[in-house]
Amino acid sequence: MTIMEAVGGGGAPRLADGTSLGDLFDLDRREVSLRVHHDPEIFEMEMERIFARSWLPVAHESEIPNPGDFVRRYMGQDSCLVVRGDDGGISVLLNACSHRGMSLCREEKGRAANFKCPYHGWAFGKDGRFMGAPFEKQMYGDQLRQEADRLRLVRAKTALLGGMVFANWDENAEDFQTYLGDFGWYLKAALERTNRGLEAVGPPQRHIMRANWKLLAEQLADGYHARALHQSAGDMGTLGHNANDPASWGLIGINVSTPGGHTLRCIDMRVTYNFEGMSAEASPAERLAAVPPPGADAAMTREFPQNLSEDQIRLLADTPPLVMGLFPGTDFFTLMSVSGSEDGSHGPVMVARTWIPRSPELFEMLTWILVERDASDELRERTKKTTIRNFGISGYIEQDDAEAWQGIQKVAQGPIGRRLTSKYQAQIGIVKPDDFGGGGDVHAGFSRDDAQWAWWRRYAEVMTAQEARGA
Amino acid sequence: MTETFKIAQDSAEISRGFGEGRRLRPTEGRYLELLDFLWEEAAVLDRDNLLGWKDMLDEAIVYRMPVCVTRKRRSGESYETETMHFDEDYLSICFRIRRFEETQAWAADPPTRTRRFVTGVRVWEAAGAGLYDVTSSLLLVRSTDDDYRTDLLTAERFDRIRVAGDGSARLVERKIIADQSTIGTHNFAVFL
Repeated sequence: MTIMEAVGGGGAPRLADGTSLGDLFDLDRREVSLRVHHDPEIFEMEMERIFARSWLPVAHESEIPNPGDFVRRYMGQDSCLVVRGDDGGISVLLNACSHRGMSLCREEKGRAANFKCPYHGWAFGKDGRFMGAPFEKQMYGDQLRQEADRLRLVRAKTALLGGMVFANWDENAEDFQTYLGDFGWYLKAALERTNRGLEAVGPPQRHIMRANWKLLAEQLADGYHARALHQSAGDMGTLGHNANDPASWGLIGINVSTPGGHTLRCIDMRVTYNFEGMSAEASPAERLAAVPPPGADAAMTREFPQNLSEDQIRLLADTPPLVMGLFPGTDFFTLMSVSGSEDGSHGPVMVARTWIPRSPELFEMLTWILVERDASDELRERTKKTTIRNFGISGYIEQDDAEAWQGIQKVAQGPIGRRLTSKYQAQIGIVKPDDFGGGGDVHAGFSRDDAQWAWWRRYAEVMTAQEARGA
Repeated sequence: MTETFKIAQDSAEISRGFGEGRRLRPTEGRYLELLDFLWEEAAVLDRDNLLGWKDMLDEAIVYRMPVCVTRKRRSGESYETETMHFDEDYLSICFRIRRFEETQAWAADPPTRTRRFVTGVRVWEAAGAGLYDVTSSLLLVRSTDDDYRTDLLTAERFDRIRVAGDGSARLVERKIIADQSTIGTHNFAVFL
């Protein structure tokens, strides 16, 4: 019996063994069964309910600057082409020929006038429209001409944020700004602050992780793990000045969540990273010029007022966004960190990441490095190197995160282990400082589980919703 | 410290003209010495002797691993890209080694077990006293914890090695080109 058959008359879907999906979430106690990380049925549901219908990042537009430039990426399990059109617009197309379903494009990156299927030679334009087939008249007469609209490549909706191209297969999906909701305000402050904006250094790093994709997604708002899992960063003298001080571990600040499952951690610069010993009485603009946010320089901070509101500038000066998680599994991470060198210098981490689920037990991770287009060569190099040394496959911080994701996955493989629950009882509730300009559910103070639980609430909502067959 | 850092920056120049000098025959003494250097390096790393490995590095080392992407045969475009998996100099390698040696780095404690197979070694004279260009094929087999599965990684390495007057060798530059565009291991808490 499939899940959809089991849905029956109402309520949450049931798994093959009769368990209602709703029973895997204890919304009162704020706990989630580890079974969600193991079950192949749940995985297939996620592909349909989440990845076929969510806004997912596929490329940075700077990767495909010229007409015909394309990269091949994944949205969930589906391969897609991200193509720059002749008019400068970007199309995101299913990488599958409408004739027999053959993968159209066999390279990861290139430039093409059109896309021709290797199997029978059907050709498609940069915007996915059907152009023609070999021996078309002899084979089909004028049938394909008449059906050309039906034969175009499947096309996703697209939107841009900080130059990242997001796409969504679901033509009925909410538009991108609605999807971002109150989160757009924070993301634009961090990513669209300068006149010329960000670019990617190149294509993303790609590597595998033997863990369920949710173990990373749900961790984004978890500040608490830093003290134990990243103990090494403290031992190296990189995270904080005092191992017993929560501020040193980035645990004091403002967490934000939204009903849509987006999560944000902002750390309080005033108590955490006072690199230059700036007085808290200096104006936000003065403090930003003295200690520019990650990836920017002092000259760029003077452009901020052209692109951001006063409240957004104050956000960057006082409580800058550290990790910005977008439901289901994307983040932007901006951080001033140690350069990862014994020269003791600091540098910016500027990264966009997403994770492609491959199986319940394995995901693929994509890591883009972002720099300001106007960055000097020196700032660009420093950003690239600091980011690589902190994050991504060789990053000394992320190396240890991988241990937690894979370590939990091992437990979820066992029938006894996966009866355990993940627990999110540490809640601060809605605490919003009077002078704080951002929206969403604001949780100021010690970084607790509120935002993480908001991610799970959204996940549970999407996964347990009753839905019409064939929707 | 600052001075060493500057040398590392400048040494990016030396990758010019790689492999354009005279090719050394496998019967020449210097070829055998360099082959032995690579075998020694593999053994030192396989035994997790990171401080020993550090002694085999020139302080001007440039250590890089570009991200690679699948391209069409006649696209005229490089498999390599500007994004890096590793982009290191001596002081950043020292940082990584100190992390493994002296702190609670979960990724390397317990240590991952590795076996490096180095083969297909070719050597050319390079411009500059005692400098040689060396390419080799690397097979890295990695075993973590009690997992029966091993991660396999194959790569070509482009090395520039300096042999001093006393015959001791140091790695001056390494570029690692993996054969996978999606790397099939969970992290690079290992050196290649």
